[in-house]
Amino acid sequence: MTIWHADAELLAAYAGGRLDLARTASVEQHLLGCGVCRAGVAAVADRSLLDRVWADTVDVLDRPPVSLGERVLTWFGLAAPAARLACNASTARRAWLAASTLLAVFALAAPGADDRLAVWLLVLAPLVPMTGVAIAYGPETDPMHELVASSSYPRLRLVLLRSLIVVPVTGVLLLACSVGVPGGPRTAVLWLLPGLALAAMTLALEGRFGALRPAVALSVGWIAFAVGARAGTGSVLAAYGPSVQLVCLAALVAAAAFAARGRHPSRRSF
Amino acid sequence: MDIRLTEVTKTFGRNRAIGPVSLEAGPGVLGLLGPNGAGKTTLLRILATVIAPTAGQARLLGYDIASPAGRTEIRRRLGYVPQECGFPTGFTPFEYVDYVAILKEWADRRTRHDEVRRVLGVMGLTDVAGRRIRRLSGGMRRRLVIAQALLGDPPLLVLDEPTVSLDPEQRLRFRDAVSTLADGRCVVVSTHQTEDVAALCPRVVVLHEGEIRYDGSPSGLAARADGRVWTAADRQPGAVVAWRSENGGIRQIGVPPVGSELVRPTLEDGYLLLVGGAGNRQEVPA
Repeated sequence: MTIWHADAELLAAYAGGRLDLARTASVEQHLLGCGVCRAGVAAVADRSLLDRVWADTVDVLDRPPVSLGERVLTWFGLAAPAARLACNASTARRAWLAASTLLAVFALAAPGADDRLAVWLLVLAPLVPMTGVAIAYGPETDPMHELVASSSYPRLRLVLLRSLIVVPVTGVLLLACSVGVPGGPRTAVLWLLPGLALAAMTLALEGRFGALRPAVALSVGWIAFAVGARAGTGSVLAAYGPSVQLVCLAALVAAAAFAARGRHPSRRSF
Repeated sequence: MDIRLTEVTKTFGRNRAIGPVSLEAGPGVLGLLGPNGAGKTTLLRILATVIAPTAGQARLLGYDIASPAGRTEIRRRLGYVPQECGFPTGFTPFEYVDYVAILKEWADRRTRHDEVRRVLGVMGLTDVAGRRIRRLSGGMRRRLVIAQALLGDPPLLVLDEPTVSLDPEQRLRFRDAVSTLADGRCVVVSTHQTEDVAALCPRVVVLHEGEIRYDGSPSGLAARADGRVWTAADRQPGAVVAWRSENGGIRQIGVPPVGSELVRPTLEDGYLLLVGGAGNRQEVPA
């Protein structure tokens, strides 16, 4: 324990920032172990400066960690608060988990897969982005829904943000997986337009019926259509013909326009 | 007026949850009492702009909740404590309130974090701000939900059963905090606890079967039971509600038999008389 203390003049020079680097470091080293001198500095230091330094320190300590997903999104130009909303909702994580699990199953099954597995991949692939959208918002999947629903943050923007990671990443992975289906890479992109159309329709109907009900109804409808097309023609690729792609494009445009315009006034919630 | 409801009705399918209800309120604490299923939560969810009324008009802070722009303005000035509120997994109290602050459009990080620290401090949660929420007690979690409602010092506070899970000391602190908060703003508190209403609210509204049965002062509600409360050794035929009191006798509300030992009614007596057997008292069987 030291018995030496810095004199008032030295402490005042330190607190006023008038010492060179070497002497500043020396005084700081001493201050770490000497309560008497720390009290001496506190007496002569600029109070507002101390408050500012303390506030800055607390701000750094309290700052929540930034996840990898947030960093990626901000790198792409998204504002930090929006990136936080996109990445930190537990629903988004659940959506990600569900989609990733589905993908893993496909990824394992698709290489060298028999025809039946490839058929199921083509039937189910368009439903993956829609599932991500469906579980991004709503009382069924969001533990904070009551607070979210009463907040001023635009609802459509929030749903889109929460779908931001799920939809593109699942899209890329599904494209990679579907290379193994009959017809090769050319058919790998066929499901993309139906997938986006189904996701957009879920988004458009969400305001009126919630997200889950339209997603379930659209899933049943799509599976029935794809299975029916295969039964009628012998190939599931019939569900992805030019006319279907055109209908999906029209549905995508209409649903996006409807979702952007706003929702029906008799919706079940605001 | 901060709240102006005109003939508001809400139905779910064929079931009428509330209405028609008309209510006006300005600055101060308004206590909402009622048994389970009375429609309190439905009314508060309408006030919190979570659900739309089926019919009628609702204006909050001068804005019409039917208009999207009005709704956004209301939400910017609203603090809401839902009856049930879950927490995202892995969040700390700081991250949770910060997340809600982002939803309330606090874009600047430094200002937002200062505000998060402030509200956590108001609810006495500074020391646990960095702990995982799953490791907090039920009372702390409830205080956390209340803390997020205080973000931005909103002029309208809607609190649905805020004292659930709080121990007696925490309830006292909560009452103290709300009394302070009520200065100049409109606070609507729904509760089962008549003690909370007696301590907090200069005005009380009793909701029963979706309709307003009483709107006035707590003392006025108690006075409704004047001459209607008595004690006896056994339950008597004129009793609407009866329960065993602390001194072992049966406290009864209803039409007292001649010569009964009348007692001074409390707020709870007035409330129980109003809602009959639908109150929360453990009754003595007839």
